[in-house]
Amino acid sequence: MSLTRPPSPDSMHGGTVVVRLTAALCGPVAREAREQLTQALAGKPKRLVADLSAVTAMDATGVGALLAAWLWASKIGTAFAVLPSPTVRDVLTTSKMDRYCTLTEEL
Amino acid sequence: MGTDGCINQLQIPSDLLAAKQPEKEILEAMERFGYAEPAVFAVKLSLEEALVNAVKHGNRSDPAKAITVRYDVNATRIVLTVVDEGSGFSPEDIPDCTAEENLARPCGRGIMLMRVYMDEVHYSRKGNMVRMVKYNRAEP
Repeated sequence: MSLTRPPSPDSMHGGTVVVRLTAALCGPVAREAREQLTQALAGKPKRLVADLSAVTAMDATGVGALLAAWLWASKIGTAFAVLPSPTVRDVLTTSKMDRYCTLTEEL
Repeated sequence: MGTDGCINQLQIPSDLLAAKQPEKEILEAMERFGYAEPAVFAVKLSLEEALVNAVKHGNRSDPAKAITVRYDVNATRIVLTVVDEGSGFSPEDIPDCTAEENLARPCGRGIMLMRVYMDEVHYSRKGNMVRMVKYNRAEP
């Protein structure tokens, strides 16, 4: 799990920040992801995208990490979106949590 | 294992690493009976959530307590039972984690995932046993 995207022109101007998370968003890794997302929100970007396109699995803790980010983003006026892998899309849509975490197809 | 089905019961310690063994066995059995990938995914996710709940909330990671996993799988359906040695709980007392006012509360998401992915989820009266059923939609 890492912040691997180079800053886009947007992020350089306080626009979109991309947090790229990889592997399985489960258990302790999901709690670490929550921290990463919280840190990314500290700069109050205009938009935060959690790039989960390479995430292979997600459990309840992973869902919780995304909801925590969405709640915090809503509070500070940041648009929060998730770029999902097929597994992440399945979990978020099946659980109807996609009504809170906007799914996006592009960064 | 015959073609009629496979029934097994395993006892594991209150340890999430140990929970990998029944999961592996169960998923392999499902594959042998021809379950489609979405059903296997649903069972994997739900079993993991049930085991996490049993270890953390049921047995509170007490090494003196065990978890019993029973499975009964055939070409039609799989029945999973996870029993812990904790004091139990009442599922009705768990708030709806999908309601906006409860989003910040870190409880109930595992149960919610089990309910949306499995065809049936039932708790014992005491609340320390969960029984889940998934039907094999791929069956001809």
